[in-house]
Amino acid sequence: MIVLKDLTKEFGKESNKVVALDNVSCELPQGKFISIVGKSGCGKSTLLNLIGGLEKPTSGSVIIDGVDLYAKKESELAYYRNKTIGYVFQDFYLEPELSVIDNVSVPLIIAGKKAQEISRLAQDRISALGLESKTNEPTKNLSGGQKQRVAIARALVADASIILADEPTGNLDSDNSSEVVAILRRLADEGKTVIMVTHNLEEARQADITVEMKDGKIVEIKDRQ
Amino acid sequence: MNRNSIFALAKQGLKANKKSTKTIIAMMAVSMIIIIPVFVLLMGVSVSMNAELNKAPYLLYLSASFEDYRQNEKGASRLAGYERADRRIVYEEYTLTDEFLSVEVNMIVEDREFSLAGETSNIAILDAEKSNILLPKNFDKAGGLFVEGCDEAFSGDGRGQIILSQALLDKLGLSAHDVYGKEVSIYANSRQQEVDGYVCYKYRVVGVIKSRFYNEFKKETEHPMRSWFFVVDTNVYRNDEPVLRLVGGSEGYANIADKVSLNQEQRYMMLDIGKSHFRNTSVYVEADSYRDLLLTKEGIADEHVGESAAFSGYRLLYKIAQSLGFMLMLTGIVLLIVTIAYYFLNVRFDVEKRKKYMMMLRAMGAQKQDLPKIYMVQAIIICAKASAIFATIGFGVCVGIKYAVNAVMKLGVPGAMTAISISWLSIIVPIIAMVALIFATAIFIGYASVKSVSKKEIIETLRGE
Repeated sequence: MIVLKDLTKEFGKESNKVVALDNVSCELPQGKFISIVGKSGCGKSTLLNLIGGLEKPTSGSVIIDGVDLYAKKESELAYYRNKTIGYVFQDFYLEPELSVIDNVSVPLIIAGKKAQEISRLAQDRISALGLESKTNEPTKNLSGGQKQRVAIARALVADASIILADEPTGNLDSDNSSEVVAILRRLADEGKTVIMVTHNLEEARQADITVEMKDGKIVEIKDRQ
Repeated sequence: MNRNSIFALAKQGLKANKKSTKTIIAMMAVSMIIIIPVFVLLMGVSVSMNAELNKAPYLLYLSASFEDYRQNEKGASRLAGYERADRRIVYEEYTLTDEFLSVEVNMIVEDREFSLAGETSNIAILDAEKSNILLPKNFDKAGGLFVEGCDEAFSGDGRGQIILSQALLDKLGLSAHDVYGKEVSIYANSRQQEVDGYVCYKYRVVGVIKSRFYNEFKKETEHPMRSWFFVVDTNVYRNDEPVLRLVGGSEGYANIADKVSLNQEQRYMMLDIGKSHFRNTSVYVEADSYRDLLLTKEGIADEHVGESAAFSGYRLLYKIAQSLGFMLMLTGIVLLIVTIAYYFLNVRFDVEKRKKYMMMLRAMGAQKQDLPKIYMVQAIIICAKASAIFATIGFGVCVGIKYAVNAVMKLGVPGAMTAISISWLSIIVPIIAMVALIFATAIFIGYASVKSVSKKEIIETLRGE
């Protein structure tokens, strides 16, 4: 269970302070496909980043499997990100000159896996996402949809249990968007916790649970199951 | 992250910047290949030249016009001005005994107190009975008397003639008659003959310097001891006539030879031990003192002015090497600076370009301190590759230069010189020094450039704020 407790995140100093998250509390079950929707600036991405341990909250806590994320030390938090979280961003953040397999291997390298294992696991993930023919292709040569699949492969390669996707379809056409959402759906069906931030209500409907946000607060949680 | 992970990510980083990495490696290697052989060549020629000088102790028979020389009521004397480190002008005046004036000698040995300047030349006078040595009485290695100056002027078979100072004899309780015509053994810096555990060489005493006067600020004072006299500056007389002058010293042979062969009359500072600085035609020393000599070729027979053909060759080569070296060195240094600047800018540009990727690394589990380490390893890999190239090629070029120069010199210079001695050490030392320099610079640049980025917040950087 992912428990958010009185979570507040403020940006800026006193005079021009912006409250991105305002005392948010909720419980999100694991192993589900969760979408977070809302208008721009409502705090969706901030919530995702706080769950992922990328940003520290101003106050409150994020408790995952009974452990307060922000009570951890910097090194423990880095370890948590490597072992538990997989990120997928709208802008992919791939290294364009490196091949697909090199990009996908990075979390495994950080985890300190051996070269053979890295190669095997990365290859498996690439194949699972239908990119085997592109394994040694520099990512700069790939289409947007292919790049996002590489990013998903990278997020999954270290066997993360939580996949955080921040507008993963934002830069993709409708066909590629559907494909990416379908992949995320499949991952949730396989038991991963997938949390996706999106503007697209159609995509959000693919999720098991939809969290709607407004002005830094959660206004509704819809559980379709 | 463990070491393997950092190494793997560093390799990935280089792969991602393949083109600029190759350019940097090439630039580093080329600049080093230009710089190293120049260093080596200059060092080699210089070492060879010095070795040649050491082989020929009488290489330089110089004659000064000796304007300062004069007869006085006590005998012959000369006046030489020198400036001490404290900028006081000090004049000294030698007054020589009759014995000195009547014999042909080839050096003067100065007396000095061992402990005065903390200098470490151990010149000891040993037991007379055992080794036909005079002046043994008060010898005490720790604080006793020493004679010095022979080291530079004498070599070869280690035998010659000597003049001792009266001050020294006084201290030993001896008169000039006790020592005149006798042989003394002098221990001097690992010289040829060993006597009673000391390495010695022998001289026949042919004269005694009776006294010396120093004129400091025009006030005549007798100084019984001097600590700084290291330069040998000897006038050779025959029948009261100065016939030639022998100048030697711990430093300055090459410089003197250079100036004299050009027949330049100029004021020249004779060095003492210590660091020297050349400024225009003068030499300044940081330490104790120096003398100011006026050297010309005027008034001496040609046969007394000369140098070995080999030395001539070396000097010519040295001049060529110096001129070429200067140009090459300048090119190399400019190229090195450009390389370092290019590397610096490239790393900065790369860091800027890959800032978001680096934050992704952190999002994927890398820690803040891992990022500078990755760039440091990249720097090490680049330097190692560049070093391997330039060390190999540079070494080859050095050896090539060594043989090429020898061949050219043998063809072109009368009285062909012997081979230039470029030792392995003189090749390896500059190579290691250069490798160390570029490693240190590159690692610093790699580390410093990423340090600030690594501290940034992940999300803020990813958002481009």
